[in-house]
Amino acid sequence: MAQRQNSIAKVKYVVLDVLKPHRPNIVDLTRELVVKLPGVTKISTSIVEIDQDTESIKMEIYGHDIKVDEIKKILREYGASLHSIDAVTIEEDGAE
Amino acid sequence: MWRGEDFKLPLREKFRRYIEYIRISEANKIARRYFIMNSFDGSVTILGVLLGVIFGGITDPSQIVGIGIATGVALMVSGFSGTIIAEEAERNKDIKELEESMLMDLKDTVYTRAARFSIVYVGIVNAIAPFLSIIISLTPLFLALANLVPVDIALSATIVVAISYMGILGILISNITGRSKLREAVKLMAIGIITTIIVSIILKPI
Repeated sequence: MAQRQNSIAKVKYVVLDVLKPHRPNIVDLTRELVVKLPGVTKISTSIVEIDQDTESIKMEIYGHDIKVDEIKKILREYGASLHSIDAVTIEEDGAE
Repeated sequence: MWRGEDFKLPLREKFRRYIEYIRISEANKIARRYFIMNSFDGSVTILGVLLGVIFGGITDPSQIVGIGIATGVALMVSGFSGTIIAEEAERNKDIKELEESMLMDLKDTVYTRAARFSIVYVGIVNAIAPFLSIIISLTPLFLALANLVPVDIALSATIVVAISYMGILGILISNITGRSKLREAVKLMAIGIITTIIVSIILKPI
């Protein structure tokens, strides 16, 4: 199949399953991600499960160019770890 | 121990980080508790020292101020080193437990940096608290040193100031507990008065 010219596939939406310590809380962590990632425009975070020392969260990330590796790096910096990518939406920009 | 990796950052960013570290490590809660505890410690200690000085017949304000400041410095060193040792052990235990739960190494994460920062932050608060109590209690003697107040009045005033400062600490406690300001202030001042009475009873025959 012929590939489209000058088109770049970009991540527009992604759902992440993340394990994190109780601190920083989801407000601070989500704010940090939105502020530090230029390609991200909106994040909805919800808590899925709370354990004694940790909590599992679901992050729905919206943007025009989401870099999952950058998100992983920031999560790591905050002591959180990416368990799985549960959903993704990729769109082509500049398709001819 | 916190090595201050953030020293290279611009001042504004540095403050933002430090505030973030305080929030993550909940250091303010611990520092507040330590501040009250050690301020009270400083007040009771200086009260004992001042009563000892009065009953010992020392009336030279410069000597008394010297004894007071030396006591303050000793409490400052004790407060700082004691907190560093205790908090470091406690924080390391927390990190280790969290690493086991997370199944990951938390080195070089904000969490570990915040824990290190909080150790130093709480240590500094713990060091300043008793020293501040002592300096405030000695204020009348500083005035006596400047020949603004007679020494005998200044000595009695130091006892009053030390006990009053305990009352202020009581008001601080009431802000945390939500209980009556007056009740907390009176409670702490009563401890100061009881200390004064006990020391006076012990020292009077000597």
